[in-house]
Amino acid sequence: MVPSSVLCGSNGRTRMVPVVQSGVARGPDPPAGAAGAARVPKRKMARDGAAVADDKSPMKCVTPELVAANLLFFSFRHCCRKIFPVVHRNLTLSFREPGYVFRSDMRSLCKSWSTLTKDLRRVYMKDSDTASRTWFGVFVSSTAFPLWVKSVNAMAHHRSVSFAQPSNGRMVVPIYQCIENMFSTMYFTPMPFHVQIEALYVMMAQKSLDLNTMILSCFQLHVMGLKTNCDINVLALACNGESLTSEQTLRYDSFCEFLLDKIVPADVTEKGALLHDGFFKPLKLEQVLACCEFGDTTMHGDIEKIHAHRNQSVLKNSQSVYVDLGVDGGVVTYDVPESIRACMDIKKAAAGSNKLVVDPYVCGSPETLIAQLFASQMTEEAETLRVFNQGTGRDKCMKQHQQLASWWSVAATSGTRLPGKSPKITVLVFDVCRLAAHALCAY
Amino acid sequence: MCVALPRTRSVLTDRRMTTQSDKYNVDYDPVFTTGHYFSETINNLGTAQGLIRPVLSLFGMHEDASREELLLKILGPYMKSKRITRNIPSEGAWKRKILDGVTNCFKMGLMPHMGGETTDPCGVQTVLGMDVVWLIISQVTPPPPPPPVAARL
Repeated sequence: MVPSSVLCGSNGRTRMVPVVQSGVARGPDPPAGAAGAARVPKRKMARDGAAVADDKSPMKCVTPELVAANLLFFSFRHCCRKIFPVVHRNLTLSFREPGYVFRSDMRSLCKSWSTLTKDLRRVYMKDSDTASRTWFGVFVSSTAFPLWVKSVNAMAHHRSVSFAQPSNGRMVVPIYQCIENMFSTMYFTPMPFHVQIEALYVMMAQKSLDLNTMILSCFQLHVMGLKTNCDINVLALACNGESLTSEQTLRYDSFCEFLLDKIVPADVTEKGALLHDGFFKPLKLEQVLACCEFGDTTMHGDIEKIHAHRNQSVLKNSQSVYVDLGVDGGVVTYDVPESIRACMDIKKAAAGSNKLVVDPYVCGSPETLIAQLFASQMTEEAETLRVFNQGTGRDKCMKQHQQLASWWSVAATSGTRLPGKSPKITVLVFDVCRLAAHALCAY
Repeated sequence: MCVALPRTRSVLTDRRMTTQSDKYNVDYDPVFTTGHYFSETINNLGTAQGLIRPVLSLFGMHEDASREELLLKILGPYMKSKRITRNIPSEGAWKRKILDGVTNCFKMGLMPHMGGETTDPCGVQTVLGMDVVWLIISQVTPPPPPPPVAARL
């Protein structure tokens, strides 16, 4: 019988260590000296070479010297990971809520968080029940509680170090008192407010807030050319007639200048960034598809009617509350994307003649169709064509912040890891079963 | 083939796959080139009333304030100090209250593009509109967070 082996980590490399065969008593080690030297050296087996695998990154090596140089840190980590979990489980300590005091607790904090982030949460947490369950389940048990343990540990260690006394030429730290303090704090004290806030920040940044809202807002502000932002506390101070510092005044003035120019430009002849209501008049799906058929001259009459109907708002000077991106010449689609062209073909085909179905994410509604048209302009190819069609020479003086494709490919994909070009996913195609030699052999 | 496949349900290759090799690659578009990404984000954000309500309170305004009032409140001190006189829009949606529960923070629109020398339709213009209230709120930055406990240690 081949002796079994166990894996053992050593300096980041995995090696095989043979162990004694089960049921066989291990004899005493041979004596050192002549007899030991006479022992036959172990033959190098082929599998020994194969067993040394380089498939793991080197592990962090904790040496006595490293621990001696960072005693406080390692004591803290030891308490967090070894002592506390054992005691906590054996005592079955529960989460202590503050009672008989007027202060913020997890329930009131959940209510504030739920109200403030009502429309800003991710899709899967949008429902208030799901959000509440996530709060009291995942958040309290695996985000807030560990942070509290770390905080209490850290405070207890700092306190014990401050009580260190010299004894026989060495500084003696009352570690026993430290651990006692730590457990009495955990047992008698509810979670402090600063830990709640810290946990809340982690929860909001990593789990609850929808990153795409931030991406889309940043995209719009960048393309519009916003250079300096103004903090909300500065705006609130200005609105309430309070005085501002010089830096706050600079920010406030810069933002107000930007905002005023977008809404009401100084020059009356200049066009502001406000869109007129005609852009947002409701359309039917067929009308949107008709607009996309601008290449067909027979459709020009219909398109002109739609244009005239929607353009009435310009004549009435009816401004909406929406601000445009402000791209020179507008985001115009000159080449209808393939997905929409397929929808047009399917719609044109006689009923029953085409078994293909319309993609609901593209042609499900007029809104999805408009969104698809807009999104198709976020590529390099579409941008090049658009710039070419909107006048020669414009590409040479195109403003840097109005380059839509580069923003998405550089800022969004590398800055937020928004999925860009996907890696190729290989799908295997298997042979027909009856042709495979394996099938015959199995038979 | 006529006997074995229907009776034993032996696996048959999909005949639509006409590749010579035994594998093929599936490519997906980047998310920002799909309309679904934009429409989902816009729908998910919706009216963002949860955040706008406390901001109005912070600015010392009532919940039934309109966009015109908000703009006048924010830009008023600036226009006064710089002696600028411009008229903030005051018709239609500018008069309606901000928390009407209808106006989304983002909205997409469309207009046939009449260009060229013949003024014939030659394209479709699409717009991504951002509500002025969301413009004001989204450009603010929160104060930096406190360092974590472990880092302080």
